Amino acid sequence: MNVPPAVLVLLAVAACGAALALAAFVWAVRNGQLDNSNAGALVIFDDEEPVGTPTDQLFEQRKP
Amino acid sequence: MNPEQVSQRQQLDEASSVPVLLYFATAVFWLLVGTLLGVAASLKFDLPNWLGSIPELTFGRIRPAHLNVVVYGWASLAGAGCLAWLTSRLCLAPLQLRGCLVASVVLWNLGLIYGTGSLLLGYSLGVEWLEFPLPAAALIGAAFLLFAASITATFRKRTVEHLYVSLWYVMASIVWFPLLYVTANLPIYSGVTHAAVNWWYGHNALGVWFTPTGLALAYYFIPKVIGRPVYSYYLSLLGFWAFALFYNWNGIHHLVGGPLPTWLQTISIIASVMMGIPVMAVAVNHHLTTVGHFSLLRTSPTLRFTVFGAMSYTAVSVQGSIEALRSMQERVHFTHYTIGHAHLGVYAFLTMILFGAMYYITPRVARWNWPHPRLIKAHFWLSATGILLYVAATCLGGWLQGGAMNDPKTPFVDVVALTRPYLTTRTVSGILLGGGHLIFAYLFVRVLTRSGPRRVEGGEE
Amino acid sequence: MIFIRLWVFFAGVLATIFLGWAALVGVPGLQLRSVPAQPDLRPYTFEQMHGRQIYIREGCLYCHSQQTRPEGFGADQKRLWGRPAVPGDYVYDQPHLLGTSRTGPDLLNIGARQPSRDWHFAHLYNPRAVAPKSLMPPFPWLFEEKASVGPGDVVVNADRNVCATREAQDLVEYLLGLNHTYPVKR
Repeated sequence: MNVPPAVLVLLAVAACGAALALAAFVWAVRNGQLDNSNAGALVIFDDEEPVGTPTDQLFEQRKP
Repeated sequence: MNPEQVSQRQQLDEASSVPVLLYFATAVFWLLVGTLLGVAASLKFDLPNWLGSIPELTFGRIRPAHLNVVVYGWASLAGAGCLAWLTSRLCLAPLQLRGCLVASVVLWNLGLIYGTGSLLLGYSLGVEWLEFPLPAAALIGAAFLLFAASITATFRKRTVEHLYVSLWYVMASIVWFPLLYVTANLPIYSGVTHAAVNWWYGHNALGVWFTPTGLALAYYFIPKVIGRPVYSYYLSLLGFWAFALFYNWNGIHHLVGGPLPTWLQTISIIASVMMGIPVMAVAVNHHLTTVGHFSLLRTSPTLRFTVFGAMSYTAVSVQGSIEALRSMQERVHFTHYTIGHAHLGVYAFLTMILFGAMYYITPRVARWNWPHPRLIKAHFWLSATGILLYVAATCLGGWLQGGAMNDPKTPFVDVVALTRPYLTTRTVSGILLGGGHLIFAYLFVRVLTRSGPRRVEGGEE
Repeated sequence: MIFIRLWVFFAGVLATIFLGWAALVGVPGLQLRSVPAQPDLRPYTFEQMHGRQIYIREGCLYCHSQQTRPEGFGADQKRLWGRPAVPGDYVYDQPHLLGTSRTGPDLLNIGARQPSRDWHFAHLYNPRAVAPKSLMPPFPWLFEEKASVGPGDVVVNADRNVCATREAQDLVEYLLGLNHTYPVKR
């Protein structure tokens, strides 16, 4: 298969980018940057709609 | 209960209400128009002479009209409305530049009317997914930029420290899509290069606008409705960047076997297979967030639609990764199988998630709950059954069609003849989908006009 | 914070789309720009360009492809649809019309496979008159019924004096021009 050199360059750049990203990720983990990462997942909750409370029960019958 | 936070969330929702409901209302309109065009197009396979003397309704015109209406009309308008609401919620900032959003709705719809009318009257640019004449495309492009401006302004006013995963997809898409849309619409291409641009655009439109919309909404609503955080934030990070890296290289899998360099086709096939990485990350994340709580599917329409959509995302992506392989392409390229795959993506994945999102958002911005929960259930079952039937019919029919087409002893007319029962099934499925859409539109109008029984959600004041 | 700086995020976002564009469009475009038209490929005549616009207008591309695939990629060769297409066959095509669907057969060499004008007129007027199992829509508005037929009229159906309009004639001119059976010259 005849692959133009320019494409090999692009693939190399993409691979470098991916490697950089992976390295940054590993650094972040080692450096404790991501220890609190799951805190990010909690952003969508608050006091009125906390973790553990479903927020859409349209099909539930209203208790009389 | 913290009254300040209750009112803050309600305040955010109220601030969003006018632009979001405008996006939604026009989206529902185009959903109905697009469904009508789609069913009519499908019916023309069953009855090729039907309305055959009316040029504006010939298959070759209503088919691209259907595609552009559902993609740039229904899916994009509903998506924009949902993402505007979501951005405000995730930034904990009131939606900014609301006038821009209203202008966006106006320009978007003007572009759609101009574009759709043009296609029916015979003014098409002849490029799949980019048929709209340039004035219509310019209107839609401008409308998108106004939408992006509002999202950006809201983002800059954020009061949160952390950016939730959905926001990554939103912010990326508002950078990606304008670049994509403008580049692809430039009238400077010809020959096979144009084909490459065409399908770089076509697949990337899915990758940088429609898929991020669906994923952003799924990442929010699944945990939000269940009341549990996303299973693994690490996975979301990996998923996002793998997605950004690989999706962009997929496009030429639409041209396998065609007059384009072999290396180019190979790169796209490899990238299509590599998509399995981000797709698995998303699937694992959503599944492990939901596991143990599937009972909530009984009580939440949003969860039903969204989980259906999220599962369909996994399915369509796995299908796509396999479909891109040369051996598959040899059989299914040029057949109805491709159409089945497209609808598994745009309908079973994206549209179902949009329905789920709109079922959640609408009452909260309109301050009026959905009447007739049984009708919502009917909508779900009509859509779910309809799309599963659609995909089964077109993929099976296309598979058989491809096999017959590759057998030189089978006359071409017989290849066509064998597809007919599958195409008729597709028409039936379209009618089921249409029924669901009519119900949805009816319910939406009831909420907007605040008519019908006033309902209070179970367990809440 | 996942992204150490916001600019890292946006840099990554821009880089990913640029890389994809460069690989799929930029580099191939540069490579293909130097590919000349096949020497035996003639540019479209005025009538053929007009016919091509009608082909686009009526959406023919949604059921017909214009790319013959090589052996190993389906039965295009065995069905005698023409030698495998090369980039130099498409130099004059703006927009491209490669197509992605074969509800009907590939048309890249239809001019060689079906050179009869009369057949094409009859087929466009009422596909099922010449191919009963066809699903192709009819295009009666490309024709007109005349009270009386004069010289210069292209008669399609003598019973009702159905004549081909300029549009039908140019469309057929375009279709007959779709002939890429000349041998490939590198």
